[in-house]
Amino acid sequence: MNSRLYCAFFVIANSNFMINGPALIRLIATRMRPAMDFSAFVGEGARNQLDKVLQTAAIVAAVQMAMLRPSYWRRTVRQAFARQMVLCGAHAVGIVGFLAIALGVLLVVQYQVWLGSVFQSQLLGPLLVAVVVRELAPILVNLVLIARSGSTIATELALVHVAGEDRVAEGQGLDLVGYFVVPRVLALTLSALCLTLIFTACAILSVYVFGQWTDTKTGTFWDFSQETLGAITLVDVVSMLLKSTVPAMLTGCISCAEGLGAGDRTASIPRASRIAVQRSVVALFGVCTLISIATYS
Amino acid sequence: MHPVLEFRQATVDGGHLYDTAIWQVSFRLQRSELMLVQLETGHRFLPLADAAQGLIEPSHGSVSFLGESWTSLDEDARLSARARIGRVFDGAGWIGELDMDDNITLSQRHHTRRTDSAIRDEASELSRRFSLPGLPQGKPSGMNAADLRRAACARAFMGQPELLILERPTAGIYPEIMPALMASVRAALARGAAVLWTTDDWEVWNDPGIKATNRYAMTGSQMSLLPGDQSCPSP
Repeated sequence: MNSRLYCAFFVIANSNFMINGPALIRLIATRMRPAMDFSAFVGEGARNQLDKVLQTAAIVAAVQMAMLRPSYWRRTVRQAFARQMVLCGAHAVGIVGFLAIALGVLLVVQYQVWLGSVFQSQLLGPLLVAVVVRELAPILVNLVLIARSGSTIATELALVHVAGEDRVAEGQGLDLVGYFVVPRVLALTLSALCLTLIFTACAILSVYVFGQWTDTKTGTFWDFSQETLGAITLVDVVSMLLKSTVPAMLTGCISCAEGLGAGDRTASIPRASRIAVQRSVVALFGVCTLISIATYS
Repeated sequence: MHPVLEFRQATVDGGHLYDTAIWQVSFRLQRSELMLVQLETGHRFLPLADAAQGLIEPSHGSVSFLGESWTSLDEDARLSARARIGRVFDGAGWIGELDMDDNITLSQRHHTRRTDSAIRDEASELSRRFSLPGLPQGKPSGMNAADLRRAACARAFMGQPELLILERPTAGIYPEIMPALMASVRAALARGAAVLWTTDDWEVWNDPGIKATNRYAMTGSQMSLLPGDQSCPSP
């Protein structure tokens, strides 16, 4: 009888506690707080990343629409585009040429170490195509552009925003996307394409010249060119075009978005530049990986 | 006929760019009218000019340019309308990556099909009128504040705009700028333009050469019409 009473008292006491709603919620909230904090952290991060992706996609779409409208291409925009082509493209020819020549030398050295004593020179052309045309040329050129132009664009546009120059341009009836973004993105895209072709040509020439110098069996220049160019397939060309232009366009859009979207204080400029470079590198490798999987798998 | 510029109970919130907001501001600026606005000391940067150009939307009320509310215009129409407004920006009003000559001629080169030489001729003539030796060259960062203000005046009058917004145009160059500035303002008024002129300088405010149609004074965020002038009633 006593034990029954004790049991009944225990159940009633705990039931009272359990049906006490606010206390129960407080208890659960206290126990679950770390898990909820973690979920909130993950959710917030994911939402921020999604926002950035959507923002970049919106800018890409706006740029493409603006590019195709003749009314956007007024003389001021054309001049801005020419200025950006010089800054992004022409000024980067030296560093891209140097990298291509150095890569050519490295390729010949590695070819001699790994394959030169076993195989004849017939493998040099396909190796060059596989390494340079398919992968390294677009990636290295885009990395150069991100380092040279992406960070510069983000910094310039962040300065434009902080100094109120975007307001000055708008006040004179200039469209911000048309005047500040389109010339930069398009110049970066075309520069990437041209520089990739220059890089490839320099690398092939470098391999031939250094191969001749070190007695690697490259044959005559005509034979070497035939072998190398013959190894390039249509898929290689499409892959190279996509890998050089798509990441560059994304770099331009990301840099412009980070720059114009920077805060209102000078202190936000380095952060905008850093994030632009970081996101551009991620976009570059992400896009190149996807294109490689899509074209060669 | 529509007024060139009309504020109807316009309230514009202040931001980091401005010293204060404007609250329930109403006025009409007709063609050939000069409106002089006295700014309060310490409240130089107001959203008045930005709201007049449709760069910032009022949270209440409306701002119209040539009878069209800025909010009713699409983006292309807004940009085209701004091309008909000349402005002396208070503070930094230059695009740093452009040379001064490109800055001064930017709007005309962007919005018109006039030849480059015609635009540069007009810019050179205006620059000389405002006591510059010719069309300035080099980056804005390489020029002193007084010459930048003169160049800003030259830019504002480029292309015969229908509305002139002169934000403290004489700052640092009063009184030597006055003859050229007043001659240009009178010419603009004579051809039917409207002028909105702000100043925080009592000497400019009391300058007998400025024949303002209306005189307003800012007190905090409110604008009040000063008595003794011919004025348009607030709507």
